[in-house]
Amino acid sequence: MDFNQLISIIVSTANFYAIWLILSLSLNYEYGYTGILNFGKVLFFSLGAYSSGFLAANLANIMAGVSFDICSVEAVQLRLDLAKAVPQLPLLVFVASLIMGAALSAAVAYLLYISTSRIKEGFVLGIILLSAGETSRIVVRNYEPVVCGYHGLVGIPNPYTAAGDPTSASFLLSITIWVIAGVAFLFINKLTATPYGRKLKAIRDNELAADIYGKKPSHERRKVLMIGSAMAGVAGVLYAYYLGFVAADDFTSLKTFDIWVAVMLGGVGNHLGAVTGSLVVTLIDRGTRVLRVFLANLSIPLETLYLRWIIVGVLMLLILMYRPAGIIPEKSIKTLGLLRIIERIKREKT
Amino acid sequence: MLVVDRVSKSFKGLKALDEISINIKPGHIYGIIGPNGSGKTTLFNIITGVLKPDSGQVIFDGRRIDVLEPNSIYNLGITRSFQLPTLWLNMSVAENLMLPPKQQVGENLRKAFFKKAWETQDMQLSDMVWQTLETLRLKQVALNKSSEISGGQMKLIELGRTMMSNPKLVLLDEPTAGVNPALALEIFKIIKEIKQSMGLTYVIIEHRYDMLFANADYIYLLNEGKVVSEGSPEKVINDPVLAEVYLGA
Ligand SMILES: Nc1ncnc2c1ncn2[C@@H]1O[C@H](COP(=O)(O)OP(=O)(O)O)[C@@H](O)[C@H]1O
Ligand SMILES: [Mg+2]
Repeated sequence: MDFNQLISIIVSTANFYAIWLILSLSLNYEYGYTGILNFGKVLFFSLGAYSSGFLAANLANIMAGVSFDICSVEAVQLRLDLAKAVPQLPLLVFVASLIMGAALSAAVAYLLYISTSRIKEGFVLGIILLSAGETSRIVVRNYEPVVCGYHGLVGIPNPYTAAGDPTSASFLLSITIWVIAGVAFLFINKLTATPYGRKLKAIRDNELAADIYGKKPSHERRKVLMIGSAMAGVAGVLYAYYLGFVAADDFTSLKTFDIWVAVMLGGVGNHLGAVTGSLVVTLIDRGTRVLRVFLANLSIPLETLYLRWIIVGVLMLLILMYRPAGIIPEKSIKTLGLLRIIERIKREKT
Repeated sequence: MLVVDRVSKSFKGLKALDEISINIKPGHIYGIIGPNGSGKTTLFNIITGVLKPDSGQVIFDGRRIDVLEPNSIYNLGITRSFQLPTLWLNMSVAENLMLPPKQQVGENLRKAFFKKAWETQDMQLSDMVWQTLETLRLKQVALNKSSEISGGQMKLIELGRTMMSNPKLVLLDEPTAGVNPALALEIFKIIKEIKQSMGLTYVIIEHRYDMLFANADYIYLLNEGKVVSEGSPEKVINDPVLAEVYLGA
Protein backbone atom coordinates (compact mmCIF):
# COMPACT_ATOMS: atom_id res chain seq x y z
CA MET A 1 0.00 0.00 0.00
CA ASP A 2 1.55 3.29 -1.02
CA PHE A 3 1.11 6.68 0.55
CA ASN A 4 -1.54 7.94 -1.87
CA GLN A 5 -3.63 4.87 -1.32
CA LEU A 6 -3.44 5.38 2.41
CA ILE A 7 -4.49 9.00 2.08
CA SER A 8 -7.43 8.07 -0.08
CA ILE A 9 -8.54 5.41 2.40
CA ILE A 10 -8.36 7.92 5.24
CA VAL A 11 -10.25 10.56 3.29
CA SER A 12 -12.98 8.18 2.20
CA THR A 13 -13.31 6.81 5.73
CA ALA A 14 -13.64 10.36 7.03
CA ASN A 15 -16.32 11.06 4.44
CA PHE A 16 -18.32 7.99 5.35
CA TYR A 17 -17.84 8.76 9.01
CA ALA A 18 -19.18 12.29 8.57
CA ILE A 19 -22.27 10.98 6.78
CA TRP A 20 -22.89 8.26 9.40
CA LEU A 21 -22.39 10.83 12.08
CA ILE A 22 -25.18 13.04 10.75
CA LEU A 23 -27.46 10.01 10.62
CA SER A 24 -26.51 8.89 14.13
CA LEU A 25 -26.97 12.37 15.56
CA SER A 26 -30.40 12.55 14.00
CA LEU A 27 -31.41 9.14 15.36
CA ASN A 28 -30.09 10.04 18.77
CA TYR A 29 -32.20 13.19 18.69
CA GLU A 30 -35.24 11.14 17.72
CA TYR A 31 -34.75 8.03 19.81
CA GLY A 32 -32.15 8.94 22.43
CA TYR A 33 -33.88 12.16 23.41
CA THR A 34 -37.47 11.76 22.37
CA GLY A 35 -38.02 8.00 22.37
CA ILE A 36 -39.21 7.82 18.75
CA LEU A 37 -38.63 4.35 17.35
CA ASN A 38 -37.48 5.38 13.92
CA PHE A 39 -36.93 2.05 12.18
CA GLY A 40 -37.10 3.82 8.86
CA LYS A 41 -34.04 6.06 9.06
CA VAL A 42 -32.86 4.78 5.68
CA LEU A 43 -36.04 6.06 4.02
CA PHE A 44 -35.14 9.68 4.74
CA PHE A 45 -31.51 9.06 3.89
CA SER A 46 -32.59 7.64 0.53
CA LEU A 47 -34.96 10.53 -0.18
CA GLY A 48 -31.99 12.88 0.01
CA ALA A 49 -30.01 10.70 -2.35
CA TYR A 50 -32.89 10.35 -4.80
CA SER A 51 -33.46 14.10 -4.76
CA SER A 52 -29.84 14.59 -5.77
CA GLY A 53 -29.94 12.13 -8.63
CA PHE A 54 -33.32 13.24 -9.83
CA LEU A 55 -32.45 16.95 -9.79
CA ALA A 56 -29.01 16.56 -11.35
CA ALA A 57 -30.42 14.47 -14.21
CA ASN A 58 -33.56 16.43 -14.96
CA LEU A 59 -32.06 19.89 -14.58
CA ALA A 60 -29.37 18.96 -17.07
CA ASN A 61 -32.03 17.92 -19.57
CA ILE A 62 -33.99 21.11 -19.01
CA MET A 63 -30.90 23.34 -19.27
CA ALA A 64 -29.88 21.72 -22.54
CA GLY A 65 -33.46 21.76 -23.82
CA VAL A 66 -33.41 18.06 -24.59
CA SER A 67 -35.59 15.23 -23.38
CA PHE A 68 -33.14 12.35 -23.13
CA ASP A 69 -34.07 9.37 -21.04
CA ILE A 70 -32.21 10.30 -17.83
CA CYS A 71 -30.75 6.80 -17.71
CA SER A 72 -29.35 6.79 -21.24
CA VAL A 73 -25.67 7.08 -22.08
CA GLU A 74 -26.36 10.37 -23.86
CA ALA A 75 -27.93 11.83 -20.74
CA VAL A 76 -24.96 10.84 -18.60
CA GLN A 77 -22.58 12.36 -21.12
CA LEU A 78 -24.71 15.49 -21.26
CA ARG A 79 -24.57 15.93 -17.47
CA LEU A 80 -20.82 15.69 -17.39
CA ASP A 81 -20.33 17.90 -20.47
CA LEU A 82 -22.71 20.50 -19.11
CA ALA A 83 -20.86 20.55 -15.82
CA LYS A 84 -17.65 21.31 -17.69
CA ALA A 85 -19.27 23.94 -19.89
CA VAL A 86 -21.05 25.72 -17.01
CA PRO A 87 -18.86 24.85 -14.02
CA GLN A 88 -20.96 26.82 -11.50
CA LEU A 89 -24.03 24.78 -12.35
CA PRO A 90 -23.22 21.65 -10.30
CA LEU A 91 -22.73 23.71 -7.16
CA LEU A 92 -26.11 25.32 -7.63
CA VAL A 93 -27.77 21.97 -8.22
CA PHE A 94 -25.99 20.61 -5.15
CA VAL A 95 -27.40 23.38 -2.99
CA ALA A 96 -30.83 22.87 -4.53
CA SER A 97 -30.55 19.15 -3.74
CA LEU A 98 -29.69 19.87 -0.12
CA ILE A 99 -32.80 22.00 0.18
CA MET A 100 -34.99 19.54 -1.66
CA GLY A 101 -33.59 16.51 0.20
CA ALA A 102 -34.21 18.13 3.57
CA ALA A 103 -37.65 19.45 2.67
CA LEU A 104 -38.86 16.24 1.03
CA SER A 105 -37.69 14.12 3.97
CA ALA A 106 -39.35 16.44 6.47
CA ALA A 107 -42.58 16.43 4.46
CA VAL A 108 -42.67 12.63 4.21
CA ALA A 109 -41.89 12.39 7.94
CA TYR A 110 -44.81 14.70 8.61
CA LEU A 111 -47.22 12.62 6.54
CA LEU A 112 -46.13 9.30 8.01
CA TYR A 113 -46.29 10.72 11.50
CA ILE A 114 -49.78 12.13 11.25
CA SER A 115 -50.97 8.90 9.62
CA THR A 116 -50.31 7.12 12.92
CA SER A 117 -50.66 9.92 15.43
CA ARG A 118 -53.97 8.56 16.69
CA ILE A 119 -52.21 5.44 17.87
CA LYS A 120 -50.29 5.93 21.07
CA GLU A 121 -48.06 2.87 20.77
CA GLY A 122 -44.66 4.04 19.57
CA PHE A 123 -43.77 0.79 17.88
CA VAL A 124 -46.65 1.24 15.42
CA LEU A 125 -44.96 4.33 14.04
CA GLY A 126 -41.70 2.39 14.04
CA ILE A 127 -43.17 -0.39 11.92
CA ILE A 128 -44.84 2.08 9.56
CA LEU A 129 -41.51 3.83 9.04
CA LEU A 130 -39.74 0.51 8.51
CA SER A 131 -42.21 -0.66 5.91
CA ALA A 132 -42.31 2.74 4.22
CA GLY A 133 -38.55 2.50 3.81
CA GLU A 134 -38.69 -0.96 2.27
CA THR A 135 -41.68 -0.15 0.09
CA SER A 136 -40.14 3.00 -1.31
CA ARG A 137 -36.91 1.14 -2.07
CA ILE A 138 -38.80 -1.51 -4.00
CA VAL A 139 -40.83 1.07 -5.90
CA VAL A 140 -37.79 3.14 -6.82
CA ARG A 141 -35.91 0.01 -7.80
CA ASN A 142 -38.64 -0.85 -10.29
CA TYR A 143 -39.68 2.59 -11.45
CA GLU A 144 -36.96 4.01 -13.67
CA PRO A 145 -37.93 7.72 -13.85
CA VAL A 146 -36.74 8.38 -10.29
CA VAL A 147 -33.16 7.13 -10.33
CA CYS A 148 -33.03 4.54 -13.14
CA GLY A 149 -34.40 1.53 -11.32
CA TYR A 150 -32.02 -1.18 -10.29
CA HIS A 151 -29.21 0.08 -12.55
CA GLY A 152 -28.99 3.22 -10.50
CA LEU A 153 -28.30 6.70 -11.79
CA VAL A 154 -24.69 7.56 -12.62
CA GLY A 155 -22.94 10.79 -13.53
CA ILE A 156 -23.85 13.13 -10.72
CA PRO A 157 -21.21 15.80 -11.26
CA ASN A 158 -18.97 17.01 -8.46
CA PRO A 159 -20.34 20.33 -7.14
CA TYR A 160 -16.86 21.86 -7.31
CA THR A 161 -16.28 21.16 -10.98
CA ALA A 162 -15.34 24.83 -11.18
CA ALA A 163 -12.18 24.05 -9.18
CA GLY A 164 -10.70 22.59 -12.34
CA ASP A 165 -8.89 19.37 -11.55
CA PRO A 166 -10.79 16.40 -10.09
CA THR A 167 -8.50 16.02 -7.07
CA SER A 168 -9.18 19.52 -5.75
CA ALA A 169 -12.85 19.15 -6.56
CA SER A 170 -13.19 15.96 -4.57
CA PHE A 171 -11.14 17.41 -1.75
CA LEU A 172 -13.43 20.44 -1.60
CA LEU A 173 -16.43 18.12 -1.53
CA SER A 174 -14.91 16.16 1.36
CA ILE A 175 -14.36 19.37 3.28
CA THR A 176 -17.96 20.35 2.62
CA ILE A 177 -19.15 17.01 3.97
CA TRP A 178 -17.05 17.40 7.11
CA VAL A 179 -18.17 20.96 7.66
CA ILE A 180 -21.83 20.00 7.33
CA ALA A 181 -21.35 17.14 9.80
CA GLY A 182 -19.64 19.55 12.19
CA VAL A 183 -22.46 22.03 11.85
CA ALA A 184 -24.98 19.23 12.47
CA PHE A 185 -23.14 18.35 15.67
CA LEU A 186 -23.06 21.93 16.90
CA PHE A 187 -26.67 22.51 15.90
CA ILE A 188 -28.01 19.49 17.72
CA ASN A 189 -25.87 20.21 20.79
CA LYS A 190 -26.97 23.80 20.99
CA LEU A 191 -30.57 22.76 20.55
CA THR A 192 -30.68 20.06 23.20
CA ALA A 193 -28.39 21.34 25.97
CA THR A 194 -31.41 23.36 27.01
CA PRO A 195 -34.75 23.12 28.79
CA TYR A 196 -36.03 22.00 25.38
CA GLY A 197 -33.79 18.93 25.53
CA ARG A 198 -35.01 18.26 29.06
CA LYS A 199 -38.59 18.41 27.87
CA LEU A 200 -37.86 15.88 25.13
CA LYS A 201 -36.33 13.52 27.66
CA ALA A 202 -39.45 13.85 29.80
CA ILE A 203 -41.56 12.85 26.81
CA ARG A 204 -39.23 9.91 26.26
CA ASP A 205 -39.21 8.76 29.88
CA ASN A 206 -42.90 9.03 30.56
CA GLU A 207 -45.27 10.38 27.99
CA LEU A 208 -48.28 10.43 30.32
CA ALA A 209 -46.47 12.46 32.96
CA ALA A 210 -45.14 14.82 30.29
CA ASP A 211 -48.65 15.37 28.99
CA ILE A 212 -50.05 15.88 32.51
CA TYR A 213 -47.33 18.48 33.15
CA GLY A 214 -48.19 20.52 30.11
CA LYS A 215 -45.75 19.28 27.49
CA LYS A 216 -47.26 18.29 24.17
CA PRO A 217 -45.82 14.86 23.44
CA SER A 218 -47.36 14.21 20.06
CA HIS A 219 -46.73 17.71 18.78
CA GLU A 220 -43.10 17.67 19.90
CA ARG A 221 -42.44 14.21 18.53
CA ARG A 222 -43.75 15.25 15.16
CA LYS A 223 -41.40 18.21 15.02
CA VAL A 224 -38.46 16.13 16.17
CA LEU A 225 -39.13 13.48 13.53
CA MET A 226 -39.32 16.17 10.85
CA ILE A 227 -36.05 17.80 11.89
CA GLY A 228 -34.29 14.45 12.30
CA SER A 229 -35.53 13.36 8.90
CA ALA A 230 -34.38 16.58 7.27
CA MET A 231 -30.94 15.86 8.71
CA ALA A 232 -31.03 12.34 7.27
CA GLY A 233 -32.09 13.84 3.93
CA VAL A 234 -29.03 16.10 3.97
CA ALA A 235 -26.85 13.09 4.73
CA GLY A 236 -28.39 11.33 1.72
CA VAL A 237 -27.54 14.24 -0.57
CA LEU A 238 -23.93 14.21 0.64
CA TYR A 239 -23.78 10.46 0.12
CA ALA A 240 -25.08 10.68 -3.45
CA TYR A 241 -22.70 13.48 -4.36
CA TYR A 242 -19.76 11.76 -2.76
CA LEU A 243 -20.33 8.51 -4.65
CA GLY A 244 -21.49 10.29 -7.81
CA PHE A 245 -24.29 7.83 -8.26
CA VAL A 246 -27.52 6.64 -6.62
CA ALA A 247 -29.06 3.20 -6.58
CA ALA A 248 -32.15 2.15 -4.66
CA ASP A 249 -30.57 -1.11 -3.53
CA ASP A 250 -28.07 0.84 -1.51
CA PHE A 251 -30.88 1.75 0.87
CA THR A 252 -31.92 -1.47 2.54
CA SER A 253 -32.96 -1.58 6.17
CA LEU A 254 -29.50 -2.84 7.03
CA LYS A 255 -28.44 0.82 6.85
CA THR A 256 -31.06 1.66 9.45
CA PHE A 257 -29.76 -1.19 11.56
CA ASP A 258 -26.20 0.18 11.37
CA ILE A 259 -27.33 3.56 12.64
CA TRP A 260 -29.20 1.95 15.51
CA VAL A 261 -26.09 -0.03 16.39
CA ALA A 262 -24.05 3.17 16.33
CA VAL A 263 -26.44 4.93 18.69
CA MET A 264 -26.81 1.98 21.07
CA LEU A 265 -23.07 1.32 21.16
CA GLY A 266 -22.21 4.94 21.76
CA GLY A 267 -24.89 5.52 24.36
CA VAL A 268 -28.36 6.96 23.88
CA GLY A 269 -29.35 10.43 24.96
CA ASN A 270 -25.95 12.02 24.52
CA HIS A 271 -24.36 13.30 21.37
CA LEU A 272 -20.82 12.23 22.20
CA GLY A 273 -22.24 8.73 22.27
CA ALA A 274 -23.42 9.15 18.70
CA VAL A 275 -20.01 10.55 17.77
CA THR A 276 -18.28 7.54 19.28
CA GLY A 277 -20.74 4.89 18.15
CA SER A 278 -20.76 5.99 14.56
CA LEU A 279 -16.96 6.09 14.58
CA VAL A 280 -16.85 2.47 15.76
CA VAL A 281 -19.36 1.36 13.15
CA THR A 282 -17.57 3.26 10.37
CA LEU A 283 -14.23 1.77 11.33
CA ILE A 284 -15.65 -1.74 11.35
CA ASP A 285 -17.39 -1.18 8.04
CA ARG A 286 -14.46 0.44 6.27
CA GLY A 287 -11.90 -1.74 8.01
CA THR A 288 -13.43 -4.98 6.87
CA ARG A 289 -13.64 -3.66 3.31
CA VAL A 290 -9.99 -2.70 3.25
CA LEU A 291 -9.11 -6.01 4.83
CA ARG A 292 -11.02 -7.78 2.11
CA VAL A 293 -8.93 -6.18 -0.65
CA PHE A 294 -5.80 -6.82 1.32
CA LEU A 295 -6.62 -10.52 1.86
CA ALA A 296 -7.66 -10.94 -1.77
CA ASN A 297 -4.26 -9.64 -2.82
CA LEU A 298 -2.67 -12.30 -0.65
CA SER A 299 -5.18 -14.80 -2.09
CA ILE A 300 -6.50 -15.71 1.35
CA PRO A 301 -10.11 -16.86 0.85
CA LEU A 302 -11.86 -15.17 3.74
CA GLU A 303 -15.08 -13.23 3.22
CA THR A 304 -14.67 -10.26 5.53
CA LEU A 305 -18.08 -8.80 4.73
CA TYR A 306 -19.57 -11.48 6.93
CA LEU A 307 -16.88 -10.86 9.48
CA ARG A 308 -18.28 -7.32 9.70
CA TRP A 309 -21.67 -8.54 10.89
CA ILE A 310 -20.08 -10.91 13.33
CA ILE A 311 -17.98 -8.14 14.85
CA VAL A 312 -20.97 -5.83 15.07
CA GLY A 313 -23.10 -8.56 16.66
CA VAL A 314 -20.48 -9.50 19.23
CA LEU A 315 -19.82 -5.87 20.11
CA MET A 316 -23.52 -5.25 20.54
CA LEU A 317 -23.79 -8.25 22.88
CA LEU A 318 -20.79 -7.18 24.92
CA ILE A 319 -22.13 -3.68 25.29
CA LEU A 320 -25.59 -4.87 26.29
CA MET A 321 -24.10 -7.21 28.86
CA TYR A 322 -21.42 -5.03 30.38
CA ARG A 323 -22.31 -1.47 29.55
CA PRO A 324 -26.03 -1.25 28.80
CA ALA A 325 -25.93 2.55 28.84
CA GLY A 326 -23.39 2.49 25.98
CA ILE A 327 -19.75 3.50 25.74
CA ILE A 328 -20.60 7.01 26.95
CA PRO A 329 -23.60 6.92 29.31
CA GLU A 330 -26.19 9.67 29.34
CA LYS A 331 -25.68 12.66 31.60
CA SER A 332 -27.99 15.30 33.01
CA ILE A 333 -28.55 18.37 30.88
CA LYS A 334 -26.63 20.93 32.84
CA THR A 335 -28.46 24.15 32.29
CA LEU A 336 -27.39 27.07 34.44
CA GLY A 337 -30.26 26.34 36.83
CA LEU A 338 -29.18 22.75 37.39
CA LEU A 339 -25.53 23.76 37.73
CA ARG A 340 -26.57 26.10 40.48
CA ILE A 341 -28.32 23.32 42.35
CA ILE A 342 -25.26 21.10 41.97
CA GLU A 343 -23.07 23.86 43.38
CA ARG A 344 -25.33 24.43 46.36
CA ILE A 345 -25.30 20.75 47.19
CA LYS A 346 -21.51 20.66 47.01
CA ARG A 347 -21.34 23.66 49.27
CA GLU A 348 -23.63 22.08 51.85
CA LYS A 349 -21.59 18.91 51.89
CA THR A 350 -18.39 20.71 52.80
CA MET B 1 -64.29 26.26 40.51
CA LEU B 2 -64.54 22.64 39.42
CA VAL B 3 -67.80 20.92 38.67
CA VAL B 4 -68.04 17.29 37.73
CA ASP B 5 -71.52 16.88 36.36
CA ARG B 6 -73.10 13.42 36.12
CA VAL B 7 -70.00 11.79 34.71
CA SER B 8 -70.05 8.09 33.83
CA LYS B 9 -67.19 5.90 32.72
CA SER B 10 -67.23 2.19 32.01
CA PHE B 11 -64.45 -0.24 31.28
CA LYS B 12 -65.77 -3.15 29.25
CA GLY B 13 -69.10 -3.18 31.04
CA LEU B 14 -67.69 -2.41 34.45
CA LYS B 15 -69.09 0.91 35.67
CA ALA B 16 -66.13 2.67 37.27
CA LEU B 17 -68.01 5.96 37.54
CA ASP B 18 -71.79 6.08 37.64
CA GLU B 19 -73.31 9.53 37.06
CA ILE B 20 -71.01 11.05 39.61
CA SER B 21 -71.23 14.74 40.49
CA ILE B 22 -68.94 16.75 42.70
CA ASN B 23 -68.50 20.43 43.26
CA ILE B 24 -65.18 21.94 44.33
CA LYS B 25 -65.10 25.51 45.61
CA PRO B 26 -61.88 27.51 45.82
CA GLY B 27 -59.74 27.72 48.91
CA HIS B 28 -60.68 24.46 50.57
CA ILE B 29 -59.23 21.04 51.09
CA TYR B 30 -61.48 18.25 49.87
CA GLY B 31 -61.02 14.63 50.78
CA ILE B 32 -62.08 11.68 48.67
CA ILE B 33 -62.37 8.32 50.33
CA GLY B 34 -63.81 4.99 49.40
CA PRO B 35 -62.81 1.34 49.13
CA ASN B 36 -60.37 0.09 46.49
CA GLY B 37 -61.96 0.11 43.07
CA SER B 38 -64.61 2.66 43.97
CA GLY B 39 -63.51 4.96 41.14
CA LYS B 40 -61.37 7.56 42.91
CA THR B 41 -58.40 7.40 40.57
CA THR B 42 -60.69 7.17 37.55
CA LEU B 43 -62.29 10.42 38.67
CA PHE B 44 -58.87 12.11 38.68
CA ASN B 45 -58.13 10.62 35.28
CA ILE B 46 -61.32 12.14 33.89
CA ILE B 47 -60.69 15.56 35.44
CA THR B 48 -57.13 15.72 34.08
CA GLY B 49 -58.05 14.52 30.60
CA VAL B 50 -56.27 11.17 30.76
CA LEU B 51 -59.63 9.51 30.16
CA LYS B 52 -62.67 10.82 28.33
CA PRO B 53 -66.03 10.39 30.06
CA ASP B 54 -68.71 8.27 28.38
CA SER B 55 -71.29 10.87 29.40
CA GLY B 56 -71.55 13.95 31.57
CA GLN B 57 -69.17 16.88 31.64
CA VAL B 58 -66.39 18.52 33.61
CA ILE B 59 -66.33 22.27 34.01
CA PHE B 60 -63.38 24.25 35.36
CA ASP B 61 -63.68 27.98 35.94
CA GLY B 62 -66.72 28.09 33.72
CA ARG B 63 -65.06 26.19 30.90
CA ARG B 64 -65.77 22.71 29.65
CA ILE B 65 -62.54 20.73 29.98
CA ASP B 66 -63.53 17.12 29.39
CA VAL B 67 -62.89 17.67 25.69
CA LEU B 68 -59.35 18.97 26.23
CA GLU B 69 -56.01 17.16 26.27
CA PRO B 70 -54.11 16.76 29.56
CA ASN B 71 -51.52 19.39 28.61
CA SER B 72 -54.20 22.03 27.99
CA ILE B 73 -55.95 21.22 31.25
CA TYR B 74 -52.63 21.59 33.06
CA ASN B 75 -52.14 24.99 31.53
CA LEU B 76 -55.54 26.07 32.80
CA GLY B 77 -54.29 25.42 36.33
CA ILE B 78 -55.02 21.83 37.36
CA THR B 79 -52.13 19.67 38.49
CA ARG B 80 -52.13 16.19 39.93
CA SER B 81 -49.97 13.52 41.48
CA PHE B 82 -50.18 9.82 40.73
CA GLN B 83 -50.96 6.98 43.08
CA LEU B 84 -48.18 4.93 41.50
CA PRO B 85 -45.17 7.18 41.00
CA THR B 86 -44.98 8.25 37.37
CA LEU B 87 -41.60 9.93 37.30
CA TRP B 88 -39.12 10.66 34.55
CA LEU B 89 -36.96 7.80 35.65
CA ASN B 90 -33.81 8.42 33.63
CA MET B 91 -33.53 11.91 34.98
CA SER B 92 -32.35 13.21 38.31
CA VAL B 93 -34.68 14.26 41.10
CA ALA B 94 -33.74 17.91 40.53
CA GLU B 95 -34.59 17.65 36.83
CA ASN B 96 -37.92 16.06 37.67
CA LEU B 97 -38.67 19.19 39.67
CA MET B 98 -37.39 21.59 37.02
CA LEU B 99 -39.84 20.31 34.43
CA PRO B 100 -43.30 21.29 35.72
CA PRO B 101 -43.13 25.10 35.67
CA LYS B 102 -45.20 26.53 32.85
CA GLN B 103 -44.10 28.89 30.12
CA GLN B 104 -40.43 28.00 30.23
CA VAL B 105 -38.95 30.00 27.39
CA GLY B 106 -36.09 27.56 26.96
CA GLU B 107 -38.47 24.71 26.25
CA ASN B 108 -39.46 26.36 23.01
CA LEU B 109 -37.76 24.80 19.99
CA ARG B 110 -36.77 28.08 18.41
CA LYS B 111 -35.99 30.06 21.53
CA ALA B 112 -33.84 27.27 22.94
CA PHE B 113 -31.03 28.42 20.64
CA PHE B 114 -30.82 31.74 22.41
CA LYS B 115 -29.42 31.05 25.84
CA LYS B 116 -29.83 34.66 26.86
CA ALA B 117 -33.57 34.37 26.36
CA TRP B 118 -33.99 31.64 28.97
CA GLU B 119 -31.02 31.45 31.27
CA THR B 120 -32.27 33.91 33.85
CA GLN B 121 -35.59 32.13 34.05
CA ASP B 122 -33.82 28.78 34.43
CA MET B 123 -31.78 30.21 37.32
CA GLN B 124 -34.83 31.55 39.10
CA LEU B 125 -36.48 28.22 38.64
CA SER B 126 -33.59 26.54 40.39
CA ASP B 127 -34.31 28.62 43.48
CA MET B 128 -37.83 27.25 43.53
CA VAL B 129 -36.51 23.74 43.07
CA TRP B 130 -34.12 24.26 45.95
CA GLN B 131 -36.95 25.34 48.21
CA THR B 132 -39.06 22.37 47.25
CA LEU B 133 -36.12 20.03 47.88
CA GLU B 134 -35.68 21.61 51.27
CA THR B 135 -39.35 21.37 52.18
CA LEU B 136 -39.55 17.73 51.14
CA ARG B 137 -36.15 16.84 52.59
CA LEU B 138 -34.93 15.57 49.29
CA LYS B 139 -31.68 17.53 49.07
CA GLN B 140 -29.53 14.52 49.76
CA VAL B 141 -30.95 12.70 46.72
CA ALA B 142 -31.38 15.73 44.46
CA LEU B 143 -28.79 14.55 41.98
CA ASN B 144 -29.69 10.87 42.08
CA LYS B 145 -31.52 9.33 39.21
CA SER B 146 -35.17 9.26 40.19
CA SER B 147 -35.21 5.50 39.54
CA GLU B 148 -32.63 5.03 42.26
CA ILE B 149 -34.48 6.37 45.27
CA SER B 150 -36.93 4.82 47.72
CA GLY B 151 -40.64 4.44 47.02
CA GLY B 152 -41.46 6.98 49.72
CA GLN B 153 -39.11 9.50 48.17
CA MET B 154 -40.74 8.88 44.81
CA LYS B 155 -44.10 9.80 46.32
CA LEU B 156 -42.52 12.97 47.65
CA ILE B 157 -41.37 13.92 44.16
CA GLU B 158 -44.93 13.34 42.99
CA LEU B 159 -45.96 15.93 45.54
CA GLY B 160 -42.99 18.13 44.71
CA ARG B 161 -43.95 18.29 41.07
CA THR B 162 -47.38 19.61 41.98
CA MET B 163 -45.68 22.22 44.17
CA MET B 164 -43.65 23.33 41.15
CA SER B 165 -46.72 23.68 38.95
CA ASN B 166 -48.08 27.02 40.11
CA PRO B 167 -51.62 25.65 39.91
CA LYS B 168 -55.03 26.73 41.10
CA LEU B 169 -56.28 23.25 41.84
CA VAL B 170 -54.19 20.34 43.08
CA LEU B 171 -55.36 16.73 42.90
CA LEU B 172 -53.36 14.35 45.08
CA ASP B 173 -53.81 10.61 44.66
CA GLU B 174 -52.85 8.95 47.95
CA PRO B 175 -49.94 11.29 48.69
CA THR B 176 -48.86 9.46 51.84
CA ALA B 177 -49.07 5.87 50.60
CA GLY B 178 -45.75 4.17 51.30
CA VAL B 179 -44.48 7.12 53.32
CA ASN B 180 -43.67 6.66 57.01
CA PRO B 181 -46.23 8.08 59.46
CA ALA B 182 -44.02 10.93 60.68
CA LEU B 183 -43.44 12.12 57.14
CA ALA B 184 -47.09 11.60 56.31
CA LEU B 185 -48.00 14.04 59.07
CA GLU B 186 -45.38 16.39 57.72
CA ILE B 187 -46.91 16.12 54.24
CA PHE B 188 -50.28 17.21 55.52
CA LYS B 189 -48.63 20.07 57.35
CA ILE B 190 -46.95 21.14 54.12
CA ILE B 191 -50.20 20.90 52.19
CA LYS B 192 -51.92 23.09 54.74
CA GLU B 193 -49.12 25.61 54.65
CA ILE B 194 -49.13 25.85 50.87
CA LYS B 195 -52.86 26.09 50.81
CA GLN B 196 -52.77 28.96 53.25
CA SER B 197 -49.87 30.86 51.73
CA MET B 198 -50.85 30.44 48.10
CA GLY B 199 -54.61 30.11 48.40
CA LEU B 200 -54.70 26.83 46.54
CA THR B 201 -57.47 24.30 46.44
CA TYR B 202 -56.76 20.65 47.14
CA VAL B 203 -58.61 17.45 46.40
CA ILE B 204 -56.94 14.55 48.18
CA ILE B 205 -57.58 10.85 47.83
CA GLU B 206 -56.31 9.31 51.04
CA HIS B 207 -56.47 6.13 53.04
CA ARG B 208 -55.14 7.64 56.25
CA TYR B 209 -58.51 8.87 57.40
CA ASP B 210 -57.27 10.24 60.67
CA MET B 211 -55.01 12.72 58.94
CA LEU B 212 -57.44 13.46 56.16
CA PHE B 213 -60.35 14.11 58.51
CA ALA B 214 -58.18 16.35 60.63
CA ASN B 215 -57.23 18.51 57.67
CA ALA B 216 -60.04 18.41 55.14
CA ASP B 217 -62.98 20.78 55.05
CA TYR B 218 -65.25 18.50 53.08
CA ILE B 219 -65.33 14.79 52.33
CA TYR B 220 -66.75 12.77 49.49
CA LEU B 221 -67.27 9.09 50.15
CA LEU B 222 -67.33 7.00 46.99
CA ASN B 223 -68.62 3.51 46.47
CA GLU B 224 -69.03 1.71 43.16
CA GLY B 225 -68.58 4.91 41.19
CA LYS B 226 -71.15 6.91 43.11
CA VAL B 227 -71.01 9.49 45.88
CA VAL B 228 -72.72 7.74 48.78
CA SER B 229 -72.03 10.33 51.44
CA GLU B 230 -70.65 13.85 51.55
CA GLY B 231 -70.23 16.72 53.95
CA SER B 232 -68.01 17.84 56.79
CA PRO B 233 -65.63 15.23 58.20
CA GLU B 234 -67.79 14.92 61.34
CA LYS B 235 -70.86 14.29 59.27
CA VAL B 236 -69.27 11.59 57.10
CA ILE B 237 -67.62 9.91 60.06
CA ASN B 238 -70.97 9.57 61.77
CA ASP B 239 -72.80 8.46 58.65
CA PRO B 240 -73.82 4.79 58.99
CA VAL B 241 -73.14 4.42 55.27
CA LEU B 242 -69.42 4.66 55.99
CA ALA B 243 -69.39 1.45 57.99
CA GLU B 244 -71.68 -0.23 55.48
CA VAL B 245 -69.39 0.59 52.59
CA TYR B 246 -66.30 -0.69 54.33
CA LEU B 247 -67.81 -3.73 55.90
CA GLY B 248 -69.55 -4.58 52.65
CA ALA B 249 -72.83 -4.83 54.49
N1 LIG C 1 -57.75 1.92 32.51
C1 LIG C 1 -58.61 1.00 33.04
N2 LIG C 1 -58.98 -0.07 32.32
C2 LIG C 1 -59.85 -0.97 32.83
N3 LIG C 1 -60.37 -0.91 34.06
C3 LIG C 1 -60.01 0.13 34.83
C4 LIG C 1 -59.11 1.14 34.37
N4 LIG C 1 -58.95 2.05 35.35
C5 LIG C 1 -59.71 1.64 36.39
N5 LIG C 1 -60.36 0.48 36.08
C6 LIG C 1 -61.30 -0.21 36.95
O1 LIG C 1 -62.23 0.75 37.40
C7 LIG C 1 -62.52 0.54 38.77
C8 LIG C 1 -62.19 1.77 39.55
O2 LIG C 1 -60.77 1.89 39.62
P1 LIG C 1 -60.02 3.10 40.33
O3 LIG C 1 -60.62 4.36 39.86
O4 LIG C 1 -58.57 2.91 40.10
O5 LIG C 1 -60.37 2.84 41.85
P2 LIG C 1 -59.75 3.45 43.16
O6 LIG C 1 -58.74 4.49 42.79
O7 LIG C 1 -60.91 4.00 43.89
O8 LIG C 1 -59.13 2.32 43.90
C9 LIG C 1 -61.74 -0.68 39.20
O9 LIG C 1 -62.58 -1.81 39.15
C10 LIG C 1 -60.65 -0.79 38.18
O10 LIG C 1 -60.25 -2.11 37.99
MG1 LIG D 1 -56.74 4.61 43.15
